[in-house]
Amino acid sequence: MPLAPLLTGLAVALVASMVMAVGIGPVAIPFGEVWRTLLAELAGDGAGGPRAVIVTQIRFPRVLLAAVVGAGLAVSGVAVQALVRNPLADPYILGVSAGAAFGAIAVIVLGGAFGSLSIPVAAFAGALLTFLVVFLLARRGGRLSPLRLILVGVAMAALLNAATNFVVISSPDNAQLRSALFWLLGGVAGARFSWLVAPTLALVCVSGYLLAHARTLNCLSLGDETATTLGVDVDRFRRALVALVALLVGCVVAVSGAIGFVALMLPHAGRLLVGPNHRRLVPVAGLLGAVFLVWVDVGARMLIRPAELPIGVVTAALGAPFFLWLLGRREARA
Amino acid sequence: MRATARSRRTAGAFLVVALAFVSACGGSERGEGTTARVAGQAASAGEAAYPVTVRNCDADYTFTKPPERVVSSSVPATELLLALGLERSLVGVVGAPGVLLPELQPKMAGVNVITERTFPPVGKEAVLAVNPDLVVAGYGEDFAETAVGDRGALRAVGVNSYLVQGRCGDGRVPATLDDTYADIENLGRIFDARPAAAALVARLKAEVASAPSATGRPKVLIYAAGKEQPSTQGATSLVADLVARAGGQNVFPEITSYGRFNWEAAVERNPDVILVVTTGSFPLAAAEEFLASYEPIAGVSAVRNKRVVSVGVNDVQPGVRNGQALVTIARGLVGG
Repeated sequence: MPLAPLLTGLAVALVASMVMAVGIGPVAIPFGEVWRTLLAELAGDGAGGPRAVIVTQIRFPRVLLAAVVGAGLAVSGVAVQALVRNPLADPYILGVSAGAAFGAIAVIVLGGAFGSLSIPVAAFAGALLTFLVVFLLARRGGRLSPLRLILVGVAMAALLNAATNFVVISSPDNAQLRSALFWLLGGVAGARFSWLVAPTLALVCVSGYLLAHARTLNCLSLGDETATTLGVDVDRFRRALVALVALLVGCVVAVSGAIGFVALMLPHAGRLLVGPNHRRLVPVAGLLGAVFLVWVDVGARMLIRPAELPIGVVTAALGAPFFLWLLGRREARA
Repeated sequence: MRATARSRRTAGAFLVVALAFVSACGGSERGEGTTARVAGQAASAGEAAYPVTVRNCDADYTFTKPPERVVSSSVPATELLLALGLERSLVGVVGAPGVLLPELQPKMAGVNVITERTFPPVGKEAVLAVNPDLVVAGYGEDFAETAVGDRGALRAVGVNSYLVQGRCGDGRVPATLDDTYADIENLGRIFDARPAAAALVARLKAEVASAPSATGRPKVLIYAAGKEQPSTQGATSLVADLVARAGGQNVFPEITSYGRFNWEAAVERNPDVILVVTTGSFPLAAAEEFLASYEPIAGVSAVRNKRVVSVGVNDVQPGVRNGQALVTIARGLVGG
């Protein structure tokens, strides 16, 4: 499929999805009214009132964040799978999301000394510290081998998950335990506009970098020796890639928790559509991730309204059948 | 002051007088004395005290004599037992004395504390090590396999058990104040302490009766935890029953058990009062700070008029605190 029409189609689908998603929520507001209110508020001459608040301050940032998080997870999934040359990798193997989880849970459960930190800040701090540790431990003789990176990342993730579980179990009461578990399951409910800044910047920077170095990413997947003979400074590129992926994952998980499935499967969905060339894969996976998570979030807030489903439950429930269908379709045609 | 009554094989009248003494000492906390003594009631208990069969959580539990070695695995259960003057039969409790109601703390002197950690629930070994004949629990999860163990398995080793009625159907069956009264009466029958039980029920009912009644059915948001991703206790919880009895209307009746809600729906339903169920890690100050700073809810009636009421999570577990909790909630719904 030629790239330009596909990208345009996906971009249009994303915008349309976001427009529709803002109109859907536990509070039934007619679609026309939703967009009139939103545009009036954005233009500055809105009338206010509870519905305006719902649309502009609750739903709008939430839909935006879902798109950014979805794209961010998918793009980081593409990068990690190229980085470690393993189609079963997802960014969480770097241990960064486990670090973010530990930071967030420390604030939720322990409060106290950590209470003054906001959850996203604490989560990002956890992610950053974990990344530094993993990065330093995974280097040997100045080189960063994919296998060593995975092993160190998995070990750190296991250690941090154990620490997180210990803190969760130390919850003084059932309510805090549930709060902690809900955070771990991930979600974009309650999104504030301020939460959008860091993930969006990270997404733009990292996607830009990946697109600019798409050829290098392609070479990397051929193996270290081949890539070197093609002129790639494998080790330096890998170091940069790890740092950028950790940055993007850290920003995303800090605001949305560890949402599963997207980073692992959406890159594969992209490959089924456009093949492994990263110049096509990065933007397609990103757009697919954004559209996917926008709709998954609609499900999370609508399926048991006005209660909220953890978004991780919906991602797998919706994503897995879709992915299996896509796989079957490809194989039928091949 | 300590009760010196030996409740084992005492004639009814002596038992009543001794327990009246105990209840008088213990019941002075709110300056009231529903110590209307029930001296006459003992004589009316013409039935044989034992064996007694109690229906608890859809099963029958038979007691052939008053339990002498009681373990209480939760703080609300401990408070029930202490309020009934049964501290002499306690061989182990879970929870530090400091978390109990102040007026019940003196009764804990000399009582063995198995562990101060109330969560996660205490394990089987620690409980069986003190050789109990009865385990009284305040939460259903106390009888999970990883905690004290299944009640049938306990019965097989000769340990009887009792779970506060309001937690039997946890989340599926609504818990009400009547369940608390039933618990007290059941414990009264189990321990042959019916007069003390009746006195305690009467005291709680008097507290409930003293609660002001809100007019106009104010809408109440039961806010249990969380900030941008908040949770509510659920319509089957005891706190929802207390809100209804205080004359309030739960804004989320369709969320039946503990679950997350969407602020969007809260903005639309516009509660008049927000009832914060506080915990150690979610104190009132944190809740109020968040409510004041989260812009999307600034227009909600309860936030604009600063009508925020709080009760502790332990106050709305089935137990002796429920009367005072209802009074607090009712006063909050009336004021302002």
